[in-house]
Amino acid sequence: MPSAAELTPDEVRRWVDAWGDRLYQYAVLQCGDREAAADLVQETFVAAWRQRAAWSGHGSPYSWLRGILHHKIQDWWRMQQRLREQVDDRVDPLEAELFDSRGHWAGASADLSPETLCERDDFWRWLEACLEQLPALQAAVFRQAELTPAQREEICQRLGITNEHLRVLLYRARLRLRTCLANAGFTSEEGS
Amino acid sequence: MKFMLSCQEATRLSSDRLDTPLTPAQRWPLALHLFICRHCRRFDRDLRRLHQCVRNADGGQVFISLPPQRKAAILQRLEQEAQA
Repeated sequence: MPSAAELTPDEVRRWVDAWGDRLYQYAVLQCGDREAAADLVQETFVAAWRQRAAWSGHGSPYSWLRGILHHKIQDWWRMQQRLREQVDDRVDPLEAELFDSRGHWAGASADLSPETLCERDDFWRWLEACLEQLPALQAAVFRQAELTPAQREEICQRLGITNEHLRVLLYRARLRLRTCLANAGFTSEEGS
Repeated sequence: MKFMLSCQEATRLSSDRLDTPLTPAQRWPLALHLFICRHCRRFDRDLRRLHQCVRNADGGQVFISLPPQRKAAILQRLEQEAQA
């Protein structure tokens, strides 16, 4: 008996119009590579069509599609061997800029306005812009650890780094992102 | 155990504790440092907020669109799949 929810080609085409941009943006944020993101979205729609019998017909098609895309993103990260070659970025000049030789703040730190940070419509646009300015390995670690929530051990394995190095990279990514977002105007009203 | 942390050490712990629980030997010096240092207190607050914001990265409102030629390619590919 055909399921009531059987998908037609027309319906899937409508999904491309309705959700293609959103899925693409999700993939760009998680991968930081627009070419790869577009490929993964295409693979997602093809996979959705091939697995159409699994579509329940209930709930949001977007959630279903995003679930498929999520797995594809995880697989993509596992194949990013080129990042393993960059593992040696162990010195970050930003730290020397922000802290003096005794480890105290060298100048007034750029505070964010925490109350409105992600309520602002342009938060994600700026976050992506700031991530694009990060050293490749820091951005890769932040995207995988914070945006995708993957297991820390899994990320270390993919990149061939230790847990300690992962934490150093996350720390530097956060230092840079905070500075970048503050420069983008997400600053606190209260001043110094 | 080191009791007086520099700001650099304190900010590092603020970051670490988003990923993993601190040991008591890390927790108390950090609490003391945050109590006396306003800059690090703000840093800590900002980091926690950023951490909360980026969870569920659904990207909010759409600001990047699938390039038209890529969208056309997807539709064409689906066409082939449907005929297969």
